[in-house]
Parts: sequence; structure tokens; C-alpha cells
Amino acid sequence: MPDTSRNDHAQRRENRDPHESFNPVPRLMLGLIAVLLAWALYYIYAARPATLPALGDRRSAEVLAAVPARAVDGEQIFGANCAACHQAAGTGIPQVFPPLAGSAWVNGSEQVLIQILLHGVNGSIEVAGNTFNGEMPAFGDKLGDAEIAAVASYIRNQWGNQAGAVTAETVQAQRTRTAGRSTPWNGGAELATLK
Amino acid sequence: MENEVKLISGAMVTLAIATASLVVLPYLQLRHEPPTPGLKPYTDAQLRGRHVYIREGCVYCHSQQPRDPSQAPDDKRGWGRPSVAGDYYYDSPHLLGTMRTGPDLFNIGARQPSADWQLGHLYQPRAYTPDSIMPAYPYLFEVRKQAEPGDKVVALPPRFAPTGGVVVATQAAQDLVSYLLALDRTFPVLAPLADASPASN
Amino acid sequence: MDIPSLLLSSFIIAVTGLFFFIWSLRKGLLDSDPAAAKVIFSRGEIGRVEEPAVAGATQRDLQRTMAFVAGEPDAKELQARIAADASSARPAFVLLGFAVFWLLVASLAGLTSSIKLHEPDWLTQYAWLSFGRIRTIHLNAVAYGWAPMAALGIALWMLPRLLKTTLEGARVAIGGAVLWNIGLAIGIGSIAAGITDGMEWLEIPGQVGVLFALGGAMIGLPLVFTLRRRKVEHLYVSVWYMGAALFWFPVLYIVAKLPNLHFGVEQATMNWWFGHNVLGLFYTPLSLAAVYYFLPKVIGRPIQSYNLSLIGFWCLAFFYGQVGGHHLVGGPVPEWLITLSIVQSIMMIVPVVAFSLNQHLTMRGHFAALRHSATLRFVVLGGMMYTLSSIQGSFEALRSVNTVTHFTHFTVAHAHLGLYGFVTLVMFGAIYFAMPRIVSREWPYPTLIGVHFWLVTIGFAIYFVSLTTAGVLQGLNMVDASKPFMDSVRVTLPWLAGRSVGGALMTLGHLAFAGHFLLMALGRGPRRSGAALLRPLAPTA
Repeated sequence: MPDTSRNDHAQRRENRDPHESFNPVPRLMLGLIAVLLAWALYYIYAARPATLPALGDRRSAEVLAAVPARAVDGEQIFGANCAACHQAAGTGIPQVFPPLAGSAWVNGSEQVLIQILLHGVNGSIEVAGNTFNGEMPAFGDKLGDAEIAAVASYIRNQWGNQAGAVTAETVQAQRTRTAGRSTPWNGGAELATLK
Repeated sequence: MENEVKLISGAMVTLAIATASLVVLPYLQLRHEPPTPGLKPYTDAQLRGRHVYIREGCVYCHSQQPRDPSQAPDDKRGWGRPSVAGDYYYDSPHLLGTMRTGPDLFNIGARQPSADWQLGHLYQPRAYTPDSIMPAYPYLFEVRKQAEPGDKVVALPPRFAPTGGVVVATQAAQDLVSYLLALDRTFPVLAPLADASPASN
Repeated sequence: MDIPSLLLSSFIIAVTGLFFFIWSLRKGLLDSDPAAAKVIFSRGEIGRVEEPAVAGATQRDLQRTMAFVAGEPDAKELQARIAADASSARPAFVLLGFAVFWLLVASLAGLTSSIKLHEPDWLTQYAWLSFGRIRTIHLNAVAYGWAPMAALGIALWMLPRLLKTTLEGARVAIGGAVLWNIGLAIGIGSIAAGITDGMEWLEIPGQVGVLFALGGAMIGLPLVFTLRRRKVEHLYVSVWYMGAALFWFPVLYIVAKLPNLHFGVEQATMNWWFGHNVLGLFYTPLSLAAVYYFLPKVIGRPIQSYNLSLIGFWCLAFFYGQVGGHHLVGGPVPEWLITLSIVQSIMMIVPVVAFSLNQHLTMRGHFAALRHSATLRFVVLGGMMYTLSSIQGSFEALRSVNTVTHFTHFTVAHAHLGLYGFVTLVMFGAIYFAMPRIVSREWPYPTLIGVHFWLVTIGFAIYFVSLTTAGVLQGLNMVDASKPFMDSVRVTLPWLAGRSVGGALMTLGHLAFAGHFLLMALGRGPRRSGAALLRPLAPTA
């Protein structure tokens, strides 16, 4: 039963509750449905989604089956793996990450630079007049010889650095030289003994 | 329409078709998919770190699913090969993510293996990456007068270092970093899968 | 058969079945009582459609609609209407009250997250305020607070009216609303404290979800029982949408929360099956039900075409459920599934155009009423945003577009076009209509309604344009490998700040709305008579 104490002005002034009229569907609508259905059939037919479900959407078999193809582009490798710490301009971060621009370790002996990249450094190291005490990770198991050569060559020729390029063969030789090593170099002191 | 039973049954049929396509069929197709060879189960520390990752909502800005080079140059950014179902064998809940306000992290452990960097970057991203808009997580760290033995001290440039103290990583921060460093999927996908098309059952 | 052939043939079979089903409903073939089909058209309304819509007639129509009673309405219908409103007033009021509360929570949380994206060092000391958590609080306050509370509150109020009956189990519904909101408060507290199930849209822990299940059932079941004791033969289109949504949501939520079942990539497809369907099969149908009710109600014309309604409803029911995969284009999910979702996303154009045509043809000649009626303004604008967001969504699913827009702010802008531009605006309009009938009191300050409208409209325009631009620029930078990743961040910064400006205006609008709602609920402010119009009507002859 309606509550007679309620103010029902609002209910009184409104229109009847809505209903539907029986107008035909516009031709435009039917045409649109036909076009979209035709498109859908064509799309499924043309897309031929035949990749194995477990591989994912549009996977190229050659990318997945082989050892991942890695771009041997020093700049790209630097951007992906090194720039976060050493910064895009090779300046490093004061008191945290050493600079590469103007660094004697980068511009000096290519063997030592390769060894740093292969095994990393843990401990005190002096770079461009400042002492750093961090931990650089090893890249020997993440990057191949050609990639280490590319990135080493790149940093030796950027930001005013003018040292010679490094070849993959040199990297390979250095890798063989310290193949048994599984720990990072113990700071600048141990690196100095390498030359 | 006059019949509510028909209305509801029709509605449930359409939902059943959708559920079959998007949930049941993938379930049946992928249920027995083994982990990709080379994929290791998470250690306890890594799992704790994964929980921190979930709790802090990292997934809302970071994906873990590089696309195929034929679609986008994700590989050229160092994010790695396209991911496949087997790569997520140990992941629950999944953390695929649908935003890249920050970069994809599917291979962050391979790309950024420095624990020092990860810790400092969590404490104050702008200390290492100018213009970064990642939140700082000071509450995952403690500022102490001086470090005690066993403390993991975070190295910071002078501008971001606290005055009169050192920044020490909490267990949560260290766990999170160990999870991040474990995100290394540089191994190839199963060789016998080389012939990826056409598929037939 | 191989996968592509299977996909193609099952698509053909399913779509053929769908159109046969629609056809059967149109002819009345499957109806138990074939005569019933005629009932809808037996009131002589066919003539009304042809009524010339001259300005003078519009004006008089409107006059009758909102200001004065031009002759007593049909006494029987009026009595049924008053009885229906009396039965639903209390639960509808409770639900709408909760909705407005969560709207404020969500606005503040959303604005905070937005500011944090360009001021990342703001308020970082508190874990619960960090971006990852406050953003999630925003989403859940909208997804389980504002949107469902408002939509269910309005559904609860509309349904007895449309069925010419009274609401059954009003108290149970109130109890359900209280349980649901306790659950939501705990859920949001959990997220703030770092306890989460970790999947987007499904963060609230499953244990708390039990309260949702219970509360939801207690809100939903009265509606189902009300449906069963209807006193009308024909079910109006709004009823279809509400009825279906009430059954869809529980299935979605329960399947999604089944413990120890989903794994890896399958969990991801389930996640987006849920995430998209909670929009497509819950908020959208409930909001469309409101548009289908309030638009013809305010202008006093019948909906253009029952057949268009049929196509719109059943195509939405069929196509919408399968589009979720487009959130994972290029991902590690089966390719056939992505193809299917792309196709169904484009097929969504069918129900969207059917709905839009139906609205437009109904509105034709009555656009002048937009100047006066707040309900109509919000509802019509909301309906247009539905069209826009859906069409945008269809094209966003295409691989060529998706490659750029996926993983960017573009998607976030798109989601807001749907959930804000469409759902939220429609709910505002519905609440402006329903509240005077729920509390038996007119809105005290018509000016505040205008302030609310312009703040949220302008705010949202700024929000949407900024964030869409940010997304496109971000995406274009990201697919260009020659640019460092940071470029894709830097380029968005001014636009992210713009988004915060828009968001701040929207929040101000919500404060005006909530304040007005509170004054009305408490019976404060001037006691007015007559509808609260945005612009007074000219004196009539």
C-alpha cells in the first residue's frame, strides 16, 4: 500500500513509463551487420591463427627456437645493460657508479676492460681521481664475444674517449684465459695485476 | 520479450560460450604445458620478493611479456625474446601486466644485474635515472646513524643521501631485489618447438 | 581439423545461432503465448512516433514532463508507481548513499594517484599512499563501490516500476548492501595494508570476496523475486539488461575467484575475461538499462524500435563476452584466442550502433529538452560516450592500433571514457531523477546541479584529451627503438599534469554533488516545489 503521508508530487508530474514502438530496423543497420559479418569471416580466414597455443600470439619460430638473436650493436647493448648505472653520457653517478668518459680503465688496456666486463668487479677501485666501492656484475654469461666486443668498442669511442676498437677474437682469447674464474675481480688492486 | 526464463537462459548461454573460449579452452590447451627448459623455480627469498612486488603494485606500471620482434622492437630495448606459456610455469598470480609506464621487466635480472643499482633505484629512482617518474620507496629502507655489520648499505650521490646517516636496505627490499635479479629469461625456448606452424591436434 | 578452420566454423555456427535466436524473438515463435507479442504495440503508440516534433510541441511536452501536471495521469498507473517507489525507497536510498560515499573515496584516491605520476616524490613515506596501492584503492572503490552501488540502487528502484509491482525483500536488500560495503571496506583496507590477490580488478582477497558473494546475493535475490511477481506481460528492454546482468556478475566473480584452479597464462586470459566482462556484462548493461528508462521517460516518447533493442541486447550479450583477449594482443596467449577477441571487438559495433540509432531516433526533435533537464543531459551525454568509447575500443583491438596504444595511458583514458563518460554520467542523471521520488523531496539547489554538470564535463574533457594524447605520444616513442625508453616517459609529463587538472575539476564536481546529496538526505536547504531544472521554462500560454 502506498504510504499516504509521502509527498508524491514528483511521481504525479512524470510521464508514463517508457515502452517500445514497433518500427522496422533501418536498412542501414542491416547493411552494417552484413558488412561486419563479411569482414569477420575474411579476418579469421586471412589471419590463419595457426601458431602453437603454448607459444603465444604471433610468435616467429626462428626467434624462439634458436639461441635468441641478439643485435650486435654496441650502442643498443650499452643502452640496455650499462646506461642505467654509468648513465647515457658515460658520466656515472658521483660516489656511486664510476664514469666511463675519460676513465683510464676504459681507454687503457683492452684486456683489462674485457676482464672487467666478463667477471665484474667487487671492491674499491679508483676512477678519474675518485674512489668507488661498489659491485659491478659480471656479463660473461649474459653477453657473447661479439657483443662484449661491440659494447667495449662503443664505450672506447664515445664521450671523448678515443681508444681502439675491440675484436671478438680478443674477447674470446680473454674468456679462455680466465675460464676457471667464477668470482668478480677484487677491486682495482687485483685488476692492476692483470696487465 | 515476455519470458524471463528464456531471457536468463539465453544470457547464460552467451556467457558460457565466452567462458569456454577465454577460460576453459586455454585451460585445457595449456594445462600440461611444462616449464621452459632453463626456467628455475623461485627460491624462498625470491618468492618473498615476488610478494613485495605484488603488494606494492609494480604490475600496474611494468609488464613481463615482451612482444615478438615482428610486432614491436621490444627485443631491441633489451627486454628479451617474446615470452611463451612455459615461462610462467611458476607464476601465481600471473604478473603479465598491461602498462609500460616503466619498462618491461621480463629480463630485468639479465639487463640490470647490479644489486647496488636495484637497491638505490628503489630507494630513490631519480638518484640514478633523471626524470624517472617511478615512486620512491623510502619505507623499504631505514636510515641509521651508522651501518652495523651485515647491513646492506645503499650508495647514493650526495644530493640524495640523508644528512648524518646511512641508508640501509630492509629485508623486504633485499627480497624484492633478489626476485628482480631472478627475472632472467635469456634461455631459448625448447628446440623441438622449432616447427611452430601449422599446429594441429 | 586445424585451429583456424575450427575457429572459422565455430564462429559461423555461433553467429548463425545468435541471429536465429533474435529472429525467433522478433516473430514471437518461441514465446509461450504468441498473443503476448502484440501487447507491446496495442496501446496505439504507432501513431505517436509520427507525431511532428515541432518546437512548440516539445515545449509543451516538457512542461507537462517536469513542471506542472497537465491533467491527472492514469490513476491506476499512478497508484502502481507510488506503490513501487514506496517499496524500493529505503534500499535504493541506502545503496545510493554508499555509492556517493565511495565516489568521494575513489575521486580522492584517483586524484592522488594522478598527481603522483608527475610528482613521484610526493607523500612517499607512507606505504598505503604509494602509487601501486592508492591506484588500486581507486580502482576497487569505483569497481566495487561507486559503480555497482549506484547501478544496483537505480536497478532496485527502476525494476518495481517497470514490472508494475512492489519490491520484494527490501530489508534483505538493505542487509545485503551493508554486508557488501563491510566487505569492500575490509577489502580496501587490505589493499592499503598490502594484502592482495594481485590480479587487476581482482585484488580484494578471496576470503573477503565471500562477503561480496553473500551481500550480492542478498541484493540480487530480491530483484529476482520481484521479477517473478511482475504484473506486466511484456518485459521492457531495461528489464532484459538488468535481469541478465544480475545473473552474469555472480558467475564472473565466482569463476574468477575459484582457488587453486587458474595457472600462469590461463590465469591471465581469465583475468581479462573477468576484467572486461565486469565492464561489459555488469556496469554496461545496468547503465544501458538506465538510459533506456530515463531517456524516453523524460521526453515522454516511446523507444523507437523493439527490434533494434533486441539486436542491441543479444549482440551485446554474445559479442561482449569474448572481447577480453584484446588486452593481451602480442602476449604469450594462444593466437586463435587473440584473433577471436579482435573479431568480436569489431563485431561489438553492431550492438553499439543498434543502441545509438535507437536512442538517436527516439531523441530526434527533442534535443531542446537538454537545456532544462539535468537527468536528460547526463543520460544523453552518457549514452553518446558509450557509443564513442565502444567504437574506440573496437578499433583499439586491431593489431595495427594496438601495437602503439597497448601498454600506454591511452588504454587508461579509454577505460575512463567507458566507466566515467558513460557509466558514471548516466548514474548521475539517474540519481537526479530518482532521488526526489525516493526521499519525497525536491533537490534544494538547482544551481548546484549545473555546477556539478559543468565541472565534471569540462574536467573530464580535459582529462580524456590529455591522457589520450599522452598515450599516443608514449606509444609512438616506445615502438621507435632508436629512442631511449626515457623519451616515452618524458613526453607524457605535461599531459599527465593536464590529466590531474581535469581530475581535480571532476573531484570538485563530485564534492558539489555529494554535498547536495547530503543536504537532500538530511532534509536541509530550502524546501522547493516543482522539478529542479537547469534552466527555468518559459511561462506557458
